[in-house]
Amino acid sequence: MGCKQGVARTRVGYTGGTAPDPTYKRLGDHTESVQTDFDPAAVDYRELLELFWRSHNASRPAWSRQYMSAVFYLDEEQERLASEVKRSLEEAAGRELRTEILSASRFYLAEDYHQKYILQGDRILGQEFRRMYPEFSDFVDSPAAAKVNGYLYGCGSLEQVRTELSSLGLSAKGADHLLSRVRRHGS
Amino acid sequence: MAPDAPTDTIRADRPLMDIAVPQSLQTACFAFG
Repeated sequence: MGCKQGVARTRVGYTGGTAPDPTYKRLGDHTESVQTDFDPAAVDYRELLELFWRSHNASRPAWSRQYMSAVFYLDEEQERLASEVKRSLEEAAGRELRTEILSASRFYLAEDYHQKYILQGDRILGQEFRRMYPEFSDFVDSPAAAKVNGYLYGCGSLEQVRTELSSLGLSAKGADHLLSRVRRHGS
Repeated sequence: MAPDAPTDTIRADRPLMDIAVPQSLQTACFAFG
């Protein structure tokens, strides 16, 4: 979701449950989830919903509460749109989507090593972002880090990366490395 | 540099994309199963 046009920030964490202060190893009744900050002038919530349902198989039963498919809505408009898009996708596909549509509750940020996971694990790009953002919370909140993490996952086109490359704060070496990774995904 | 951005939030070593973040963001939350 990080490389979607209009998505500014992404954070992974735990929400939807009642257990206090969940962690990956002590999740209680929470669900692993992704929180995004988006610019409604650039992308609307309906597009994010469509991307959400395109990105995973919501017709199979959930493995567990930890790994269930869910939309956590933040207001009535989000709830209305989520129900509407879900119903329309179900009608088009002729099968039920098992996604829960739930009111958002407190979101607990996951441990540092889960944030921008693939970017942190990239030797060249991870190091460049660590240099730009000595404070980990700044790294988590960085739109450029969200974009690069998304590109490393294989989202976004080479053309999109080329358009945004100069705004990502990378060195020439980092930029070349990112382009080569994205080319590899596209081939 | 974004013309209206408060100067105390701007660091020259940050990516341009991070300096030009729109002020009126909304939040969404999803779990992908």
